[in-house]
Amino acid sequence: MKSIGMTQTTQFDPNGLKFKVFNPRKHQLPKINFRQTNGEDPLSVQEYYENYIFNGKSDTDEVKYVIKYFDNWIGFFSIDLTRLHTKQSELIPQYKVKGKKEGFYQGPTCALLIKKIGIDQNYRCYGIGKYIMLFCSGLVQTINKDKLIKLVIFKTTRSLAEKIYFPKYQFSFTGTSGKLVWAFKRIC
Amino acid sequence: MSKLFTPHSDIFLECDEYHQISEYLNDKINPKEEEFLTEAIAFYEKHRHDSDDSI
Repeated sequence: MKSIGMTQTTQFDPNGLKFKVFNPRKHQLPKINFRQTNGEDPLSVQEYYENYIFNGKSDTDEVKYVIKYFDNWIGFFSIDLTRLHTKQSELIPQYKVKGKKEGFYQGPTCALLIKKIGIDQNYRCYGIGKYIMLFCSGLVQTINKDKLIKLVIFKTTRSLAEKIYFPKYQFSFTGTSGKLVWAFKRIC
Repeated sequence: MSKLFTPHSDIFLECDEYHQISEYLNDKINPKEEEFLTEAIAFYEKHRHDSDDSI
């Protein structure tokens, strides 16, 4: 007997996905459950959705995309350009002082930060995360003519990084301990 | 979209995290990564609605 998960996966049509820049005056999304199946929200996705998309506030710098699958709203993500530094760079002088080079810091790395990703609980297991990664990686390549943006990066749970983002989509991730990690992948 | 042409934020990583990313970037891109990037451009071009904020 076929499992429901298998049936759902084989019936999913990625051509039905639509990615739209969120416009609070035009897009009225329903209440959607973005929590984990255990009810937890370790990345504050539900909170972000309710504050900035469901309630229509749009007072953040990042670009928000909302996702439809045919006629149903099924998720969102928000992206921003960011600079990655090492914490040490706050302490190390970056320039020569009185002719002496007191420290070396190669400078920040520019990256596309996916700040939040939310997928409706009812649409998990369709591989929609992969399509979001493809969309973001494609987008950033098209705006990266000077090759200054090096990475796509996002914070996720260690569990998702280990079970999905690394084995399925080859996203590396940081650290060996802790519940949350940075997942990243080069774009040039 | 134009928001994406200027960095708005800074992330300060632990030293080991930053070095892990730097070393990763120093490695050569592998064929699987190249394949993903090519697939990504095709997917984005097919699905881009960046100027379309219609319902």
